Amino acid sequence: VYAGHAAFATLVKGKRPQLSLALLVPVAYGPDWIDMLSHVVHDPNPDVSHGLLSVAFCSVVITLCVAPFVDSTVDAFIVGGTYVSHWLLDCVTGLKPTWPGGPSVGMHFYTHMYRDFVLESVIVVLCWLVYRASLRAEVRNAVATYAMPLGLIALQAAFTFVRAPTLG
Amino acid sequence: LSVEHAGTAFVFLPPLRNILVRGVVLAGLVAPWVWLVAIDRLLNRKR
Repeated sequence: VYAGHAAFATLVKGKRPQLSLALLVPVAYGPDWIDMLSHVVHDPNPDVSHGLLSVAFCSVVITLCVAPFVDSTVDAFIVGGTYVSHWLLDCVTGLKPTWPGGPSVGMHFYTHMYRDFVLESVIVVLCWLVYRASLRAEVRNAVATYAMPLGLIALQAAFTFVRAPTLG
Repeated sequence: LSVEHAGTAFVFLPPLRNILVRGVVLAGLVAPWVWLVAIDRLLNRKR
């Protein structure tokens, strides 16, 4: 999943408007940030970023770190849950590690790039509908409101295009 | 281009490609963040 992670952040924002998207979006991409930074300091290892143990540990750390800055403990758990959502969503389109030496699980949709694109676009629209419902009535039909999912779908198209040559 | 220069270029190409790939990945992580936060701020700004 690529755009679907950002879309999930908008869904959470729609349900918990007091949480900031500036926090939710990077948390939703958390394992990918760790993966990118881990390439700088050592050889890539998916267990470090996308393994279940890493996801569980990092979600607890994030929950504890944000707890003093959000309105309630429930909000802190929801931010931690947003981090966990990354692994769950990635299982739909990819193969994700469980624990060191354990099996990788997932539907591996990346090998069907058009189906992956359609699926992610549907996720983006469904999550955006929840976000849109949380907006004030006077901005619900604003151009910017509709630009949000269109931009994410455009990013997903670019992601699919970049990945395409590497797919068999 | 001498053989030595060609060899030097060959040695430096893989790190350059790696930096380019990391740059694309970084852009891919930052783009949805900036996009969503900018639109959300626009939609929820005080009148």
